[in-house]
Amino acid sequence: MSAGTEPSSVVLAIEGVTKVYPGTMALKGVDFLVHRGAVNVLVGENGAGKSTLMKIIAGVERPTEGRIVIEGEPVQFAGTDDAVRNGIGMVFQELNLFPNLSVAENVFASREITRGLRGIDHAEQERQTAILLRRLEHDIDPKTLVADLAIGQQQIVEIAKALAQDARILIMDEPTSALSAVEVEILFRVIAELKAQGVAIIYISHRLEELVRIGDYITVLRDGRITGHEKMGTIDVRWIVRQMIGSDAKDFARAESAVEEREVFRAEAISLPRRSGGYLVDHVSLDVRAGEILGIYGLMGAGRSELLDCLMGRHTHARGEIFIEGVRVAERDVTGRIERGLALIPEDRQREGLVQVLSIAANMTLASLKSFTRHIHIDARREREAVRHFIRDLAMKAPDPDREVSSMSGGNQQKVVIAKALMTGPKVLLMDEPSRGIDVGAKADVFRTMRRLAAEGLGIIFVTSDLDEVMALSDRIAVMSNGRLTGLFARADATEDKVVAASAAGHGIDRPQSSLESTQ
Amino acid sequence: MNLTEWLERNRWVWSLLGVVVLWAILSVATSRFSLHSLSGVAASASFLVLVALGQMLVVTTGRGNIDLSIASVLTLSAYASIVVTQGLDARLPLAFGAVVLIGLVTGAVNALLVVAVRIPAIIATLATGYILATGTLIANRWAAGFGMSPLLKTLAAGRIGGFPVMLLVALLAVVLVGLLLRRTVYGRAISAVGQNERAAALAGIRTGRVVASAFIASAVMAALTGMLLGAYVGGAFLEMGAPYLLQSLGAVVLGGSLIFGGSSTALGTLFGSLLLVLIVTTMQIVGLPPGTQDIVQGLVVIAVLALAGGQAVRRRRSRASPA
Repeated sequence: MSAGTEPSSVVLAIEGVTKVYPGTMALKGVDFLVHRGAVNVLVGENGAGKSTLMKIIAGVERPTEGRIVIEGEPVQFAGTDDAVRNGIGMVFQELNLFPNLSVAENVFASREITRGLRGIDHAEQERQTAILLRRLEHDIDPKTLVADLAIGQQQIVEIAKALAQDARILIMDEPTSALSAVEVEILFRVIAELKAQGVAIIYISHRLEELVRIGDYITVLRDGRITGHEKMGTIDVRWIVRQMIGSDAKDFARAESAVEEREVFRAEAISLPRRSGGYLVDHVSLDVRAGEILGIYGLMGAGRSELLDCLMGRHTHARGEIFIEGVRVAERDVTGRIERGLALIPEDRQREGLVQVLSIAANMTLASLKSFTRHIHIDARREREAVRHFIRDLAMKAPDPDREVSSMSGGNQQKVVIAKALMTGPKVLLMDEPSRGIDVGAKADVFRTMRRLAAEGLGIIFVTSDLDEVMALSDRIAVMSNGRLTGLFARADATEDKVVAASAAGHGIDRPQSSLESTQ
Repeated sequence: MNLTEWLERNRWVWSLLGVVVLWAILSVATSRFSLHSLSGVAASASFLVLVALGQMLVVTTGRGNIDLSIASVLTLSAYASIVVTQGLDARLPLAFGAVVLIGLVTGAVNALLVVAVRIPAIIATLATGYILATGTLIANRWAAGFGMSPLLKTLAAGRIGGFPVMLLVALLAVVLVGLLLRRTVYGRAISAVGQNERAAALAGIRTGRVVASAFIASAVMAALTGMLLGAYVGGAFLEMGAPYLLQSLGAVVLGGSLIFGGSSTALGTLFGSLLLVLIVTTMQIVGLPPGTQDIVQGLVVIAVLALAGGQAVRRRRSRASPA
């Protein structure tokens, strides 16, 4: 070892990796170090580039620029099997197991131990699987069908599968998302054991409490760039949130608040049970006045989108009551709730907002066709007039409304979705991430439209992960964390610190004060 | 709007073009082929048009929905019509009622299995078709010896000034279904459901009802066709519905409807039916054995689907890139 180089604990280094997809740059010159015998946490909001980075490490994708260095040796992965040969294992968010096969058969799937013509050597597979499971301190019979295991145990099998391939670097993508609290504890013990055995773990999660607890190093990704890389002891949850969200100048079309006294919407004890126990939305109650914009802030997985879905009637097993203008809404399905004056602008525009083969005009009127119907046919003239009105109203760029909606830009598509909702004549507008994936100009248009609609007396509930956005647009800010409402602030006394603190409530940051001071 | 865009939106033009070209070739190549023989082709295509319109509605609802029970519905209805009318015009309304009932019940069962029980349509309708086939075996014993109602015979096989009455019926159906698709809420809804069920549901469309209605419409259309076809050929026989299974799909596909659902035109199905029957006629003129004719029909459907599938993939790619 040459003088001056400290003995490196780095087992894997990503150096200057850039990944370009047609039209987008998913990663921009990313440097990422993975330390041996440590939990290397990777965080970032959706679309920050985490999955792309993981795909590159796992050999699924190849970097456009930059290189991968393992134990000081540059390597190139032609495919996933190359990565596996280099000791990289991955435990996917959705478990990739065959429920109809036994534990041992899963662990050795596609790499079966065979005895020539006599077929698979089940006894040997089961013996080796048993050794692995014991190493993970789990007493699961290798002959058990995976379908008969609890989710937490299935996760252990997934890990065993990776270890069976001599994984020295284990990628875990949201491993706790489906686990109960007890199962999470067990998983953490397993992770600690793996660490002690020198395995490097890359840990991806949106649950900040976990990251702070088990992470040794943390790397934050935002918009394809690394915005922070620290040892875990030196930082706190607020630091993470800051690096994740960042702040860039935006035009929010600030305006006078138009809030009236009249309550237009109220939700009482909205709950959505999770299949594995607990709640995705945990008894959330809130109200909106006419002309009010209520912003719902929270981190990924806080249950915000699920709340809107419940309000709209998309989950048949959701509980709780909603009231529009003080009257209880008995309808529990989407069709009924649209008629009562609710409209939802979904987060996933492509999959839930638009029908691609239909024209721009047909998409706009899809939810309100009944109002253009005379006898049994659609009054084409009235439909065209309404479409033209909303194109003007929302400043859409749509020279020919008869063209397919897929010919438009993202921002204009979003306006089509908004127009569709508005054409139903709603009293309350639910907007899920209304500014996601659209350019700055269109964003400003969308924000202006929200302000104007509120001024016209609509109640608006909007969900966002953008701190600046929620601060600037909302008359009141509701904050969710772990499915619960953890904060409700009037615009006047909402500060970024309070909102961020509420969004991390229950994320185990009862020690931020001290660590905050230590970083100063 | 440029030509490629217009063609993309009006895919039925290709089947019309096919009809014209094939007819022109036949006219030149064989002296026997004339305008009169084209009207013969049109008459037999008319039955296919009716069945195919129903099939088209089902295909339009997407998710791989398809109605394989039509062959049995058609055959059973032909028998039912003959058994009930017993050759008497007076009993025609009763027969009509019975036939429509067969269609409604079969369609409702198909819809129930597909929408409520969530069985893939390809299996659900295959199974109901098999059950009905047993019904035709029983009906086959009763139906012997009955004549045909003269009125029904006129409707199915008659001509007005050389123009087949049946073609008028088919054209009327095309116009009605065309208006339904283009001008009504239902037409928009079925297209939306076929393309993006989640978005349709979120727009307040009761997607289950839309899909169910398509299955019911398909079965009723097949039932009515069976009644008319029985009168046209002057009786019922066990295999009479069989050719319509592949042909109805062939007509839908040739007519430019997307097999993945969401985009169909009644006009396309009309020309698709004509083209398919013309192809069959051509093969008969050339003197190909029936087995070979079936092979060619199958190949035509596969070729069109392969072309359309490739096109769909290319379109998606070209769209994904400029994001």
